[in-house]
Amino acid sequence: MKFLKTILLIFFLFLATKNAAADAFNDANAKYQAGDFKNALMQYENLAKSESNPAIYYNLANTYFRMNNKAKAVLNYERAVRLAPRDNDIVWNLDIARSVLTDETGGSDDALLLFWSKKIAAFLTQDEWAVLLTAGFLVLFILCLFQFLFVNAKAFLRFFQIVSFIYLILTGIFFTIHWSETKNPEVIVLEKEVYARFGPSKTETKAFMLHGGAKAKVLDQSRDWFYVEFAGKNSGWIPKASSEVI
Amino acid sequence: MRRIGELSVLKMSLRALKGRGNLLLGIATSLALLAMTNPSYSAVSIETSVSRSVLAVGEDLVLDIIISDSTGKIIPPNITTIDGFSSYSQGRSQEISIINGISSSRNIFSYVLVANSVGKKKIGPFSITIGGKPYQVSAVDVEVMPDKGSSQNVGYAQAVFPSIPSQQPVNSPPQRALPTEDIGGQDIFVKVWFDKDEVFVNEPATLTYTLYTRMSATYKGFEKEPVTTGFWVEDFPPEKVIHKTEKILNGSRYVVADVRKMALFPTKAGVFTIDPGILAASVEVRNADDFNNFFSSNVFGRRSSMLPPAYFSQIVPKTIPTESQKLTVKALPETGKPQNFSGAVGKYAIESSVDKKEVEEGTPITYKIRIFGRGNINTVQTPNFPVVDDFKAYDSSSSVNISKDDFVVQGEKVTETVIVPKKAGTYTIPALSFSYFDPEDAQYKEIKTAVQTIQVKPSTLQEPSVQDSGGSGVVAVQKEGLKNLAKDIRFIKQSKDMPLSWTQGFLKNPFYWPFNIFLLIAALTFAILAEIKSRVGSDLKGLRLRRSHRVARQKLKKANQFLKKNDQEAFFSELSRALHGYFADKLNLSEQAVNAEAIEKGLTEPAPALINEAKSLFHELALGRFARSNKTHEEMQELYSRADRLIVGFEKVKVK
Repeated sequence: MKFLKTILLIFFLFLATKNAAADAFNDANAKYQAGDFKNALMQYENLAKSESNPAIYYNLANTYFRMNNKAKAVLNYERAVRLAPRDNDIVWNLDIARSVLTDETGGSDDALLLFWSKKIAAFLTQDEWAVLLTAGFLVLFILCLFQFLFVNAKAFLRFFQIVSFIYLILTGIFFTIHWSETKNPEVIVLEKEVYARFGPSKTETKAFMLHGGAKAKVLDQSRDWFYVEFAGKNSGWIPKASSEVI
Repeated sequence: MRRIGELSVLKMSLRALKGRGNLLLGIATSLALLAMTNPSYSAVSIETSVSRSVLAVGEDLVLDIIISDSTGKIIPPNITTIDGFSSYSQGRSQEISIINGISSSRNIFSYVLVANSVGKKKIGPFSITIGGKPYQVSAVDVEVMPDKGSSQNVGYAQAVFPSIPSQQPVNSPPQRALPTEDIGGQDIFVKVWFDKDEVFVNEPATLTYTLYTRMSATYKGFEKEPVTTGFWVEDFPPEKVIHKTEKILNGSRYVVADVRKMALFPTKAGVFTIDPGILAASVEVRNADDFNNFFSSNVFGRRSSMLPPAYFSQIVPKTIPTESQKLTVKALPETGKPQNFSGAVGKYAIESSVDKKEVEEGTPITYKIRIFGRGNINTVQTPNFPVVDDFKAYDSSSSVNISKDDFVVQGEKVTETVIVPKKAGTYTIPALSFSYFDPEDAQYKEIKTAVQTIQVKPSTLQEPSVQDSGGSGVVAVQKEGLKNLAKDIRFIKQSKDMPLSWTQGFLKNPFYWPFNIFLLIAALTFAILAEIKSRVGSDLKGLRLRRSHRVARQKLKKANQFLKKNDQEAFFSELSRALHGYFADKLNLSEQAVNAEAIEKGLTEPAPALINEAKSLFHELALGRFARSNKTHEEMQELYSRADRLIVGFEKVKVK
């Protein structure tokens, strides 16, 4: 009986914490709707610290946008879109937020096949690709097993084997593309203007200027500096304090 | 008289010489006499005169000091400090006249004196040094009357200064237009000034360029335009007749005129410093400074205007720099700012009208809003036509009329919207409100248009009859594309639950890769196994060989059961089948083909003993099956054992 009680207690505690988190979210939403952006912001930030949920990042970004902090808005939209790349609301808002930034990102000059491969890879999160990959392995395994058990069906199963093998190859390719695109961390510039220099020091010559909200890929780092690449072409050193990792 | 005297003395001395006969002495005497009489030949006289003896404050007079028949260098008096007057030297002229062979000279020094205080004044006395000797100049009395505000200009002044039409009153420029710092000795300069030091955002501050010149000058425009970033600029058109005033500064009279005026509407708050640019002018510079120039204007008389000015003056282009001006722009207050405030500052009124109040369905109506008043009318945003049910509103067109009379930017902005009622009924177009900020009262004001009522009568046009289209057709409808009204971010998410959230962290799981590798290996293993299995399975000969013993055993077991039941027929049948089957499987033959020869053929090595035994057994079994003979239990048991041993024996033998 005591055991049962403890089980129930744990269960209800779990429910309570789950609800508490949901309540904090709803509470922050209510504040946002009422126009109390400052407090909503604090609450969303706290929620974001404890769990990495795209809806929280999205709401947080909306709040920053309403408070006219474009850089932080873009930062959080990017965080949200990495977790939910197909969510229409997040993609729409990210587009709008990007459209009011100063820096142009420009188009990519990849070959058509590579461009579309990257697009397909971006359609899913890395985790989702991982799930698909494992699913492929699982299906292959089952097919082989059936082949062993039911030797007569060999020819029939052979067809599906080939299909699943091709599927595995493709999934593996997209999985790898996605990984290679996202293996370098990316940062969003938070300061209004930051100079990228030729070396990691304030005394080095300035190379180009980035404005708030610009997204850059980190290629290297050294003490307080990031070596970043912007728009696939320009690279330079910016102070770590001027930006935040997505 | 003196001249006659000199000659007569000379004559007399010469006559005297004639009488005495001593010519040399006579000449010497006459020369001495001549020398003695010379001083009387250059007796200097000095006169003074003024152009007028009664004048008003701010007016001027000319003081002439005339020195006749001077000898030696004249050092003019320094007339700067005369009580009640500001003064400066005007010029010096020299006249030499030769009449009947007798020459005389006059030096005239003229000074312009400007009265700056009321009362009876005494000009002088002055002292002048001529040929090293001091001379006294007598004083002159004048009277200064209070400023009447109007004066007649002396023709004297007109010839030298830029002309001022005598009909116009001479007013002093406004206080703000006056230079605040020391102008030094500048002949021409510009004072740039704002009419206000502090304005609100979008409230106009008028920037004026006031040109001061004491020489004849022509305004030539701007060499460098003013820098007005952050401001909306409305230039006031230049006046047809430039209004001139005059002002006395540092004792000089300057002609003052506004050469450019513009209204600057600030677009944001802050403290701004405006660079007003650089002006250009061409100035007439007189060469009267060179006193010893024979070709000065005063050769043939005082200030002669008969000779063309080019002889005595040059047109010199000049650039006139300006000082930057500061303007403080106050931000519009946040308190009391209405929701629909769109940045209009000034004083406005609004009215609305429709061209028809009663129409049929589908007839267009023009709805006109007019906002008029003072302020930056160009940037006024008229309120949008509201969405009215059953009315289709088309894009509006706006027109702006600005007037800049009296240096005030004002005008009207008219917006017309065409609306078409779609359904019959009575409709009201609600009052549209427009808010603006009044800088004088420092308050926001909201004004509303009147409500318009429209009566829409049902359409008198026939509906296209369905019968004509031959049955139940559908009348085509004008489709509208979706019109995006605005672009903004979408609303927050109401729920934290996102689809496929269970996938999050999948990859981070430490078991992920091991699991995948396991699946892969397992799959491969099974594939291989399956392959082997099928390969083996397709090998019938081997299959049979492998199962030969097992199957034979099963059959023997069955035969044994029959033996126990003492079922002779069944026993023999089964036993025979077991043996034949065994060899058939082992040698991959059919059961019927099994006999001793076949077995012998199928072996790799000869095994005569086994073959003989097999032969014998076959024979016995055939007998037992087909011949009617009763075998005893022991005999059957014997046969069974022999079969068993035979099989075991053949297990060791290799087959082809």
